[in-house]
Amino acid sequence: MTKTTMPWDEQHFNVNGLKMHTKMWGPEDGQPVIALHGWLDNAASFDLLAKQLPDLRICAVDLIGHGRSDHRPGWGHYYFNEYVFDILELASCLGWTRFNLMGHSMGAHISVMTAGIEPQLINKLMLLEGFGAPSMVSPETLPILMQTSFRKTVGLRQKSPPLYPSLDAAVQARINGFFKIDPPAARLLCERGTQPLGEGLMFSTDPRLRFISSSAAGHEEFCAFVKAIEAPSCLILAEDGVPRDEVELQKRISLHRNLRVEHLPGGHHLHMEKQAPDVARIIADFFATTWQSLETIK
Amino acid sequence: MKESQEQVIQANGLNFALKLWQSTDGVPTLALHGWLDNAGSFDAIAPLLDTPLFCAVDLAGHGLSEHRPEGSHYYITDYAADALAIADALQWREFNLIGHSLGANIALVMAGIFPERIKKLVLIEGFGPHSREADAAVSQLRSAFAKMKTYKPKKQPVYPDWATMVEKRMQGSTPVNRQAAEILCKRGVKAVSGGWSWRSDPRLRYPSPLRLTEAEVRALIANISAPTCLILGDKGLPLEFMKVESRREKLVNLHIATLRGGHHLHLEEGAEHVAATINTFLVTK
Repeated sequence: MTKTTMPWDEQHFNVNGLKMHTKMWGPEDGQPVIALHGWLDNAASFDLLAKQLPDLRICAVDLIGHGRSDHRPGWGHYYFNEYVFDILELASCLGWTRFNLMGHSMGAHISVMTAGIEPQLINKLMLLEGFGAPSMVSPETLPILMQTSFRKTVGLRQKSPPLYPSLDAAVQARINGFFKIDPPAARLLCERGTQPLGEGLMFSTDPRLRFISSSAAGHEEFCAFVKAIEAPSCLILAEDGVPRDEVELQKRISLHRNLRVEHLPGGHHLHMEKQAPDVARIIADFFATTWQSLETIK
Repeated sequence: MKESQEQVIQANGLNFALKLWQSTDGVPTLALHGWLDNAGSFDAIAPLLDTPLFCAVDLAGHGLSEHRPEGSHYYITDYAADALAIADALQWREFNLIGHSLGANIALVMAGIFPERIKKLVLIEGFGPHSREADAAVSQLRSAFAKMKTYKPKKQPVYPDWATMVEKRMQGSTPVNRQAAEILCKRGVKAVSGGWSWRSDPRLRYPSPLRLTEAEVRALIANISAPTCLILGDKGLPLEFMKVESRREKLVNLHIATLRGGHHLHLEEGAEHVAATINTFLVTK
């Protein structure tokens, strides 16, 4: 298929020895944005937004283990910091020395960490329904969390992944998934996030991702990353999004030097559902204000 | 149990080389060596131990075991998962666990995650993973990333001959005597063009991207139920470095033995005393 029929380019890059797939949207000279989807989602998470933000050069990635990208080799965990390394490596493959970051849910968590360790790379930071992983643990619960995670790894080796007879069946499973989602949004994610297996389909996400991660940073560590962020940031929260610890959330917000918080009606995937145009308007407005080049900040 | 046997086992997605000393049936013992060492670390004490089955593991990236795949890092939690997978592969439900240095830190994590599987825990010159305060998470990750970017796998040091290699190991960050260095080099070096090089994964020398916080380490220690014996060399690592004083209060059943020797006391002149201490500890109810 050519560019005239597809509004995006499918491109892949070698990051840290693994193949990472991306959907590249918009004009090559548009403001560069790297977009990171949430846990078990994929690059299609940004399809609706990208269409409504035609001036931006959006690189929507399939995070490692998700969508069409490679899975991590071996049986190790999916550590958040490795996603951060992947994104920094991707930026260097793209030749982007300064860009905006946009993240949804787990992608927002990874965006915060990335902006925290390499603040000079990030112009602006857009966070959708995420300001720290929901699986955050207190130190006391760590041993039991790790035990569960180790046990599940063992169990997984003896189990084959669920098989769906059709795309419709996979979509139905996704609609009823952990985070409820509208049927059209579920379809977008499933079209990209499934692969044929025998007579049916399976989700292409790495089954290891389904374990409770033993690597989710604690609240205090997340705060350390928030404090290190220099990029002006915007956080969009959905009124019916994931349940939040308001006390923790307020503490994180107070630690950020330059954060605007917007509340919108909708669920956890509001950027893929009927509120997408409202989300897009906020993003367009947020990114439209001054682009700070590397030179101006030095 | 005098002679050891070699075995390769697949666990947690990697091939691991093991050294086994077997005599009779009974509660087996798993042994984990220190950073940049290998299963040879236990050559001096293994024949002296009254344990029916003793298995010393080459940790991932060390000795004759496989290295982690490209793009991977060496996390303490993955070492623990590996060691548990090895115990599963050996079909060991309950076992004793002995660790030296990094191996002791891994052993402590394992005993904190699966307390019911560890009968007795022996820690030599190590008392849990290095921790850091939450605020240091950013600089830790930053320096790991900086190091990663400069990684050149083909540019490893090459030493002209065996004797130079042994000398180099003797003067390593934790100095050892000639005999110990020879044992460690036997399993830890490989022939390359122009001489000899280390077999261990160069990435082991890089800063870890991730560390547990002290509160997390303490939570793991508090979860340990196995009687524990901590063996220290009087010329070993500083006690403050291992946080012995602040962490010991979390362990209900802890015996501390300070013996003469350095960080590798179990592989040098102190081996007999270390073995005797472990033997006494293993039979104590």
